[in-house]
Amino acid sequence: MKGKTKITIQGHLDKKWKNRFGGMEISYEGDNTNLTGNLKDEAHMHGVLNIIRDLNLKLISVNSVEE
Amino acid sequence: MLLTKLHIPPASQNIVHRQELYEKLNIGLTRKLILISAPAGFGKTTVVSDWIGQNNFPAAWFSLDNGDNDPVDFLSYIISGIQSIHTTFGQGALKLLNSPNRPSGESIAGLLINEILNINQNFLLVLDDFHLIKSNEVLKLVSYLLEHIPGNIHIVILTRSDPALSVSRLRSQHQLVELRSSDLSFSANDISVLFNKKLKLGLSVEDIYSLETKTEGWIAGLQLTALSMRGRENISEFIQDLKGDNRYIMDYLMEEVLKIQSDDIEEFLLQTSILEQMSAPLCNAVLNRNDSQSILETLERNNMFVIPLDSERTWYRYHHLFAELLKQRLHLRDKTAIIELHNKAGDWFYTNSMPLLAIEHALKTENFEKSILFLGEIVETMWQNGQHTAILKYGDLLPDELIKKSADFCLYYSWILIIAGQIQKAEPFLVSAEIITMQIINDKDSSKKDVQYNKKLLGKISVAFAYLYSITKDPGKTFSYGKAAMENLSDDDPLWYSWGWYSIGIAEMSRENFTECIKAFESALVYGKKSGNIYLISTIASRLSPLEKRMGLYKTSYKRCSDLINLMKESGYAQIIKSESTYALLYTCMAGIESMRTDFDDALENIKPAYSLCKNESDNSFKVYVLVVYALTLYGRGDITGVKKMLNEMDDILRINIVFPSFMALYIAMKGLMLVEQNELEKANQFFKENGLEYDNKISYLDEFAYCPYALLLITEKKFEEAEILLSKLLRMAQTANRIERVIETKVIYAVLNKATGNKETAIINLIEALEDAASENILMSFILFYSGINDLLKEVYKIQATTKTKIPKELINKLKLAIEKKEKFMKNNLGSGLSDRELDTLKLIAEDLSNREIADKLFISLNTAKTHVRNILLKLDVENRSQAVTKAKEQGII
Repeated sequence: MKGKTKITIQGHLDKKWKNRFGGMEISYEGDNTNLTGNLKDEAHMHGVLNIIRDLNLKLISVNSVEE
Repeated sequence: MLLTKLHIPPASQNIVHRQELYEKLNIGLTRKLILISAPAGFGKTTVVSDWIGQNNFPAAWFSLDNGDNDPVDFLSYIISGIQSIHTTFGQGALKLLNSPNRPSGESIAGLLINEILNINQNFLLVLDDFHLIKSNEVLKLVSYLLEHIPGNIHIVILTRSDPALSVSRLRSQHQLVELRSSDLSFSANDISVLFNKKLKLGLSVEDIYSLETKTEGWIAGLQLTALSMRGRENISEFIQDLKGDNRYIMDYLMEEVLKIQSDDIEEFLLQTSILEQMSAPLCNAVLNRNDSQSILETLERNNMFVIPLDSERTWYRYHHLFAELLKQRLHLRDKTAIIELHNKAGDWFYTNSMPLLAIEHALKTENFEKSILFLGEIVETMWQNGQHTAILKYGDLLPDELIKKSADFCLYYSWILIIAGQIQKAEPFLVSAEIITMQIINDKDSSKKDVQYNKKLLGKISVAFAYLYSITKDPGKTFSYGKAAMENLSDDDPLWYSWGWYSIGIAEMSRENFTECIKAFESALVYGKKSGNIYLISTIASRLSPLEKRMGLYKTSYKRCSDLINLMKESGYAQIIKSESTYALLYTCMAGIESMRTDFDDALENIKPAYSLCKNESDNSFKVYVLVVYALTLYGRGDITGVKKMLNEMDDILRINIVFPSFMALYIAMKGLMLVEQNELEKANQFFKENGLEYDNKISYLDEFAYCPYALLLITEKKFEEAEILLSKLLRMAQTANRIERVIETKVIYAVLNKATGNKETAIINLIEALEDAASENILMSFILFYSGINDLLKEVYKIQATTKTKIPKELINKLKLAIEKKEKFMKNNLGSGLSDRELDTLKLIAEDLSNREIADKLFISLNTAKTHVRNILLKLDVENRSQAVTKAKEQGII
């Protein structure tokens, strides 16, 4: 996955985490949080997913976003 | 080595013992692998350490970190871990690992498995935080261990994501027990035990169910909840608020927890969160305070996610998840303050002799200058310990321009790059290192100590240069750097002095000064033995013995190989000999010598292990060498089918690869000889031509092998003058350099030439001389190789030897006769194998009852050639006429 990506996780993640997620934008949609940003490559995405795993956040979906 | 990584994490006082999980884990004691796979905070470590503690199982525990992606580090920790159960375990393997040139991980693993078998005890090998392992090399190692694991050891892997190992296969073989997050998460009952029995918080059943729903049994969340309840009056209300909040639970709870800490403790928590491990003195230094010990102990007592890393309570760390939450908060504050914290931590580790951890802190703040400074001081030790992967990692991470300022780092980094085949990348670093050291040496203001140090360093750099230029085939530079190495190194450092001599050796080799070369390698071996580095010794010996063999020093060469192999076996490294390709070279060398002496059965015994060792070898030159010696051995035994098989394997390799000239020449010799022997003269002619052989070529020691069979072809084609010119050149070369084996072979071919030109007397003298030369070392192979051209002459030589005085011992003649007899017997029992492809085609047509004329037309050959084929068939099948040939061929299954 490359380019603009939207990762949705369960619950509201504090906007203070923006830095930890490499500057991805944090926004809310219902009870969920969307992380949106440009991912360099697969490795970058796996890095982000690892942070989600390490915080035991519930991953709901990963999608490319049309610009 | 950080021993804290081998400490079994102790259970905290409020632990919930989980009997139903332990029963499941007990089943794992009959399985190969126990896999605990769940995200952070599910109590993986606690469950396993409590299970081990409750049952007193012998266990080697290894908490992994990012650095353990270096296979050497990884294996070293495993060995030290197992040593806590069995003190003498793996000492030999450890010595091999901690060496600048190391054997493959798999052969070390093989060695370990053998040693594990000797431990008469069941035990567990626990690998915690396995998700941090990303290196393929380490993953391959663990796979190998799992595949070959003896029954008395059980591996326990704790990980946040399923490892890239063949887990599903183990599962289907019932060799796996696994616990996943659904097994690990707390049930309402577990929650009640924790909150009511242990912490005595008096929660209602309803509260407990609310907590279970909200946290889904996630233990880290529950523990943080318990922490934030401390001192709260209305706990039920707190739980309801928590349940109703849709924030990430840890954000919510962390805020609550920090709210009820004093400012002082909150500061302590935030600022120490940058530390991967902390001790009171370290915290004192970083935070400018002096009461860290009591704070750490209080935190541990209060379940503030602080884990002691040793039983003395010297080192602690935070639970990873807790540290992550703290760090995130710290990062929202002043960035310069964080850099300052890392600086202080790095300095503390540096002054307390933990440079690797100091480097990690310097890298965190991208302070590359400091990193390279620290690295320069420890890189030699790292190199000696075999930490190649780590050195490469730092080399990749740091900017080239900075690396070039540290001569020490440049040297070892480029050494590893050269070994990895990255010559072009290595050279500029060596150039910088050379310039820096020269400047210091030539600067009048440099202290005596600095000059001495840099001279030594320059010597080491020169060794690396010599090594590099020997690979790029630049004899001039190889030699001048070899000399520079010896000028700057001294025998008080036997390891490097040995490498110095080694570089002289390769320099002399590239200049074709073999006597000097042998002397240099011999000196290298003397100091190599003093250094005790078994890998260095093997490397030198595997260079030296083939060379001694080339020079006709068969006894010395043979003894060197067998001594080294015996030494390895006696030192407990039998496993290494079976799995390292360096030793294949020694086996091949021995087989080659045994073939020379016509001891073909012994040769076969030695070439077989070499052959299986080289199967997975990526070095094609080396493979071809093994295959040629194998082919030679089989030829000597009369196994022509086997020879063809070997030649086919070589053809396959050489179609797409280029190999060392001398090995290429050996291949041309073997294949060319086979074609001439089988009377495929046109093919032989074409083959030699394709490979650029001409009678008036400039010949070097590297390609001389190919020319004797070529001379044989010239003689068969009646090009006697050309053969004469070629042979005289070969003989002169061999005599000048005193290569006895070549002298003998050339004289044998001379005999064939003289016989063909009608000078039978001279031919016999040629053979007598050749046999006299062969006497001292039993070098009889050439008489076997070219037997068909000299068999009648040999019979007369036997007579002369029996009746007149020659320098040929009786035993030598007997040995030769026996070898020929054995070969002929073998061929008689395997008749069909002696036929060439063309002869086989002819035989098939004979079976169809075709006349010689018809056969000639069908095969597009002349009538004479067809007749020759038929004659050869009758001879080889040992029959009188065509119909007998067909009957016998059918009996033998040839057609």
